[in-house]
Amino acid sequence: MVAGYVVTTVILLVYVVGLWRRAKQATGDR
Amino acid sequence: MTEPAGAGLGQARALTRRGLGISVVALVAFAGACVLALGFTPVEARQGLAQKIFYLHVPAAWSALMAFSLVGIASALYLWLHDPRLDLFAEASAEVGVMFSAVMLTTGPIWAKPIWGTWWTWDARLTLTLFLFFIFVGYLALRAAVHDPDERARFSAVLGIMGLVLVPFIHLTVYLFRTLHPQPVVLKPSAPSLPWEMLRTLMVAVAAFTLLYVGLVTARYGLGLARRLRESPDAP
Repeated sequence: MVAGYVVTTVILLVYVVGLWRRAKQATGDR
Repeated sequence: MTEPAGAGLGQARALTRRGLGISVVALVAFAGACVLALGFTPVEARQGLAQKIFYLHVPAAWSALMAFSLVGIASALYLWLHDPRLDLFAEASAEVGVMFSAVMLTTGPIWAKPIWGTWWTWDARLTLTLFLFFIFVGYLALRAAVHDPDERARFSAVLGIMGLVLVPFIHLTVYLFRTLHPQPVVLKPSAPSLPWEMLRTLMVAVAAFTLLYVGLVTARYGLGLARRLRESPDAP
């Protein structure tokens, strides 16, 4: 059960951070 | 490389900022849903603590199937109207849908192992859900492989519609086939078969995941717009 919560949190955070970094690069945002 | 058009890039930047802001709010709501699920919702009598995965697995499945359905609808509208914004939206929704599918396909086996005694079984619901995931991984690979924006939009729109066709079958598999997967407890013709405390927690988690979908798709749309402006600065 704990593994499910950990895995979900990791997937969500990795995707959000990855999207933020890609967006920053593509838009030239600082 | 040509510099992207200033106004369009400003819009892309604003969209990604707004989308990421909504996503952060949604992540806080997700954390609240986790606290509610683990600390303030009764433990299910037969499944015990393993049932707590329900509050992640179902909202992730909801968000993934909503994302893929909207890809199909936007794709069909793109083939009709040829509006590039529909293609950008479909791309954004497909990527976010694949991410939610990854959550669904990892939390499912983690829940299944203690309850069914196996991580995975090749029954209709699970197999078709895995195929849907592969269709949209293929959709993203196709988009990466085709460089002409019009061709890319047309080819991927056809694949997006194929994915949409699979969604109602996945929902109905538990009625049409013998399967280990339980039948719906909320999205069914009769009233939800859940105690109020569990239904409340599920609704909070579904709301958090839906808000996260909105935030991520908004941000991903802005990213797609910025990339398109770099590809062709005169693009609408």
